[in-house]
Amino acid sequence: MDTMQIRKVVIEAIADVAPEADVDGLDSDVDIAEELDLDSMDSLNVFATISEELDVDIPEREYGQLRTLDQLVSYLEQKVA
Amino acid sequence: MTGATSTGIKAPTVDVVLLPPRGQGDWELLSEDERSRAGTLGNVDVRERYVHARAGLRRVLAAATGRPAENLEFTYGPHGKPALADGGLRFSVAHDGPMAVVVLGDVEVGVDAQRRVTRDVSRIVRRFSPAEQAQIEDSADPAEEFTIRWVCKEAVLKAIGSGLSVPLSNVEVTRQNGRLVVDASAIDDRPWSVVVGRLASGHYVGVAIAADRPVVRWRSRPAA
Repeated sequence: MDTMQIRKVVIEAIADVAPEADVDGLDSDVDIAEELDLDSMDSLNVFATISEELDVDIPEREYGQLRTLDQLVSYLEQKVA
Repeated sequence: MTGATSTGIKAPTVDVVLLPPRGQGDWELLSEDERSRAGTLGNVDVRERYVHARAGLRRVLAAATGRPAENLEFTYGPHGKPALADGGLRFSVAHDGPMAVVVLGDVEVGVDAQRRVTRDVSRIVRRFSPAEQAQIEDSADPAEEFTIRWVCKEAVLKAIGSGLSVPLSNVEVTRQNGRLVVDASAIDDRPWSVVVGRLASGHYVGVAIAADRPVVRWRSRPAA
């Protein structure tokens, strides 16, 4: 799976919890939860969706380091490689 | 902060304070660090709520400690849990939309607030323990039962200071004879109690206290 495909899965997972947000226009280096006003339940849903869609385990202790699109995509690239 | 019980033993007492709507002078109460933090928040709603919650927290702590709100200093745990720099009073703050609530006491406390869920939470429920999943599924109102368990779990995780950096199943909240019972022994060996209040706004407020059978006082204004 290439970077664009991973990014698409991430974007769709975010769009699921923030259907009215301009997720495609989200800057790659902003804190997603803060920018889109996601609460912790939304954030957990995003991680859970990505885990299931990509069949990767994202340990909870990593969540705090995965706050931007760039951080998420580059982390997932390593996991699915 | 203690309350007399029928046995004469002082039970730990915690106060739950609902913050009033954003008022004048909020910004002036914040420290330089808090103003810088507010400045990094690009979403205007998120920024305004941060300022409101921090100023409100300072007012509540000032009323409880007798110290000027603007002079209070905070330290932060590894996952962002705030504490007063000189220790003493324990507290936790939560907000959901414009609603914000502070809990304070002499033992460790945590609070979370959430409206009854309407979103799809099936992926999250699968991360609950089998006993929790069964109780939610079998309840007359699964959405409400889920919301109650969620605010309790979050409140305990905030009190412990880990937040969602540990699996949700590490804090199990079950009903035993109608009473909510917490088992967090996988990550913390203190006894935990949880209390849930339902507000007129529709929010469920979960309060976690590191004590057996604490006294919980619901207040709408800062305790004097």
